[in-house]
Amino acid sequence: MTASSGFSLFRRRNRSIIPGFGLTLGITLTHLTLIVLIPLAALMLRPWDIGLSGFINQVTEPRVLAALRLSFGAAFAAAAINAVFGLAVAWVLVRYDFPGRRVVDAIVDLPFALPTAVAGIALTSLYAPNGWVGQYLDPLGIKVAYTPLGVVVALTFIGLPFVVRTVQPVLEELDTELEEAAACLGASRFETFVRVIFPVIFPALLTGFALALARAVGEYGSVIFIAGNMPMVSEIAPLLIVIKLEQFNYAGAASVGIAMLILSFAMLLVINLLQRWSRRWAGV
Amino acid sequence: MSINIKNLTKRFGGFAAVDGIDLDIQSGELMALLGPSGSGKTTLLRMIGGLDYADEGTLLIEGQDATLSEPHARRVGFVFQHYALFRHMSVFENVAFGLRVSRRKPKMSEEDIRSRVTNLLELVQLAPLSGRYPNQLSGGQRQRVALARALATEPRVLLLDEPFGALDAKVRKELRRWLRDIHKGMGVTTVFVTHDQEEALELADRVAILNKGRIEQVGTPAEVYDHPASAFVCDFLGGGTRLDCVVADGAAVIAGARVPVVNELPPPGPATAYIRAHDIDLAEPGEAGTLSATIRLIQPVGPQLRLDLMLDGRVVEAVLDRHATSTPLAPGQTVSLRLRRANVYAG
Repeated sequence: MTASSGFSLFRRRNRSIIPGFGLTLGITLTHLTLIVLIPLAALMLRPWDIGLSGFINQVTEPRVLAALRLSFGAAFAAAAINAVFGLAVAWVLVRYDFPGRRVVDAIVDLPFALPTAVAGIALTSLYAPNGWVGQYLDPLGIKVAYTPLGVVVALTFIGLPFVVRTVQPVLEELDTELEEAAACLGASRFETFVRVIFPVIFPALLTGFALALARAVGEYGSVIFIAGNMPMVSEIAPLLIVIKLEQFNYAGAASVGIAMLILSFAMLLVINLLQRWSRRWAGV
Repeated sequence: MSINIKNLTKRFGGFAAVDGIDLDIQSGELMALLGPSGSGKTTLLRMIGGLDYADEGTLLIEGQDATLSEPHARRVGFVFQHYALFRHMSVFENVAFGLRVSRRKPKMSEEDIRSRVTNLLELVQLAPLSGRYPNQLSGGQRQRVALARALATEPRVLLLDEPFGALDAKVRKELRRWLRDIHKGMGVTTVFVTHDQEEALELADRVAILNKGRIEQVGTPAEVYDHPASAFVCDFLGGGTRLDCVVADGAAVIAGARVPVVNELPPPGPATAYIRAHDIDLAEPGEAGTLSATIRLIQPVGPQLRLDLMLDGRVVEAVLDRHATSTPLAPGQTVSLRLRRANVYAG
């Protein structure tokens, strides 16, 4: 009797009007385990046969270090470029009504849909020294195709939608009364943007930046066409993994994979913390 | 500071939201713009504040033409309906915003800003909450932050858009009293927009009643309530029940009974009479000049007794003093009524 009443008290306290917690949590965990955790665990276990020192040897090879530096450096640069121009695109799309706005809006999504190899080939033919754009850059001494700069161009292309699509809804929701209030209080347009608008959209901008960065780090298809893939110069880490696989160096490939995983995780964690800090005012 | 508005007009597409309005607001006055939604009251307020520009007409603030000047150049404080607080800034920083902008010359020292903001937060009784973010405040507290923020720049004119619209009845009543005290203390010319006639009558020195972009009447609360200039004003200020009548011999004849008319008498013939619920008394049956009606519904509300009466096939609302009504009343009962006075308008 006592036990049963205690049980019912327990049940009552945990009752929620929103049902299905157990079910949804179960599905979530199963899904994440099958799709994400098991493959990652397998990746972590793979280089075990060469040991920790073998892993460190593999990862500190100059060619691997150069590839990691290029992959992360170019991805960071591309995400930063997208943060600036993606914000501008989102701003224009939300703030102004002009003929063809919907077309521009649709174009933003194309990098999502286009097979990345197609994008890579198109960019390469444009930026090659004899291409439409490359022929004008070549006399200036700017080489894009087959250089790290080309890698940045390709990664910028594929990352643009992430920034635009995360910032756009936040800009749309921004109350114009905030800007009017700032204007009444004597703020200039620039001050209004810096002190009133930007802090509100900054968390979304960070999210877009993180998504573009993560996408760019893992990008393969478009980059290998434009990069030229010269070891130590324009060879990205994902390509190096494929090369190691083709040489049956599975442990080596997995080692590079783990290194990328750890670096990506660290970067995304930092961005997430930064984002939480930038939204400290949103809590109740 | 005085505001003079002449023939101010604002069109949105083909629709005139504000249609040739003339209005003079005296220095230090507390003015209410009262009207139903779509009457143009908010557009008028926004034009005074410089948030919308007039298509025609002129606006003088303190005798100077301000029709086209920027909001900050007018030195007005604007309190928005939904407060428009900067949610990423603390209460303190919200209030300090107008003191930190670069246009403000001479630049205020951090010490002066701190003391000004602290004084204002004390005035609005929010000093202990200065470190909070707007999300952590109740509606009434947010409203007070918005007011403190608007007052921080020492505006010549304070403009409030539906200042108490989103608050519950008790908080609204408190804030009303408190706004009146602040207005009295600072003497700043204040204009507020409301659709709540009780709020306008209770708070304002003068009320301007708007309808379809035009001003129907301007006057003190007592003036506009006692002598509504038009059927619209009468109806909007709690006109009570609308009844058909005939004007004859200096009075309105309603269902055979003569009722004294308080406003200017329209020409003899059919007209519309408005009878306020308070102007209906129960009378002894058979007394001269009374009407017979049937009680449909009785509702005690606090000190009042509200009755729905059927008179000539129309529902008439009456409000009686609950404690002064000694005769027991029941639905279905037939009673005699005396209509004390009516406002009558032609047509």
